Amino acid sequence: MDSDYQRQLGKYFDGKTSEATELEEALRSDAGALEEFVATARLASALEDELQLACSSAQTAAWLESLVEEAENKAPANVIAAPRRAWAGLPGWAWGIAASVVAVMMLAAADAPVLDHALGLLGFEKYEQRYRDRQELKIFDRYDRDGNGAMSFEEFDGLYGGRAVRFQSMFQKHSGNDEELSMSEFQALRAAIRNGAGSGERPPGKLQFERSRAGKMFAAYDENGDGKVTRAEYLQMFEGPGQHPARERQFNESDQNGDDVLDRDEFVNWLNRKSGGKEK
Amino acid sequence: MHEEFLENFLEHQRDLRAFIGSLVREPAAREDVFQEVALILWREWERFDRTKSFGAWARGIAANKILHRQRADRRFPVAFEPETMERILEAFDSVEHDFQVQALRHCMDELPAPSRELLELRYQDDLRCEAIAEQTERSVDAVYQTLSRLRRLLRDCVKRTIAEA
Repeated sequence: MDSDYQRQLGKYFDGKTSEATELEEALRSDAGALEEFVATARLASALEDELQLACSSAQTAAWLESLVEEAENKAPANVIAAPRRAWAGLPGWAWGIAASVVAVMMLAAADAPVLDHALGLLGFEKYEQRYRDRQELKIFDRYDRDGNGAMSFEEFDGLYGGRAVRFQSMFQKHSGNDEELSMSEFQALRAAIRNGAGSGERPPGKLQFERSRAGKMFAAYDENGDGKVTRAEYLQMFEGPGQHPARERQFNESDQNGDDVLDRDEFVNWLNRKSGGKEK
Repeated sequence: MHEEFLENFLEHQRDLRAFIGSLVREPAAREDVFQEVALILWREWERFDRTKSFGAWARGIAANKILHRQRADRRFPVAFEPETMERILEAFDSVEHDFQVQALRHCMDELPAPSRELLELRYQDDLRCEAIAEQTERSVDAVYQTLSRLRRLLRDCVKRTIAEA
């Protein structure tokens, strides 16, 4: 496959849809090009599926992007990039001094958030953290629709484009009894979500479970997303409302602790039995 | 019945997304088509011939839906002519699904941190290449080329991993 086609393909799958004319010609005339196209489409889709599972929605990404653009407009990239390139070969101490000089120079010309971001880009993590804290505060203010200084789940859901239901239990845990997030609770929750959707927040293995076929089946049964499959949810997946003695029996057998709901393990055991596998 | 449909749908939804995504590059429109197709599949499930491929059936419905949308609205974001779409549909049916998720995860773990970060900016944060270029202080062309190279690397790694398994 020639490199020109690879470039066309890359641009098509990375957002330059208007440049598909040459790609289209190749797809019509070259079986190899077509095969490469399908493989790239499948890989791109798998990457999206893998990487978007634990992250914010496109709406949030767009909002963050606008914040970054806003910061970049205030401190043009070349102001930051040029010194970084020039100093790449210097020893650490010299680099630090040079960075400090630039920081002081920028202090005179830029406002504090931009300075923090610039220092963060230069490698000073403390300042980058402060910059990120300010960004989070902006997001919080923007989505705290009623401006009461606390974020309800409805407002939080707005931030995630109506797809925050997957974070509902984490929200409840962070918000406590008042069911609203303060700014610090909001920051903690966002950090937990960013850190791999909960390496510290979710039970070990939960992410892998959600990605598995059994996890997706469980999510489909668990209509209200509370992490448990009730009898009604279980029966609903079969013939709909009505009497289903055989299914009732199955449910009773699967509900090993008799609490009238199937938790994750009970559900997986049922699936394994059904497909002839062993119980965990 | 729900369960049988669900099993088939879950097994094929990723590939259905890949097919729709290969033709419709605008995320909101892509999601609309996916949801419409999912609804049609569910409604028509009773009439689906179980001896046939669910994936091919789903892609056929998706192709029709996209063509219909394209005819109804000339601004609908599809870059290809119907004839090319037909070829792509046939290629999806005939080219073997050549990667597995486990292998992909393994290969992503093998990537150096900057490469992984670039993929996250593109696929996790759904950022445009122009925005990625600004954030990573590269040229836009360099971002396009690096992403293409990473996808090729991942594909090769996935093939190798599957072959070695």
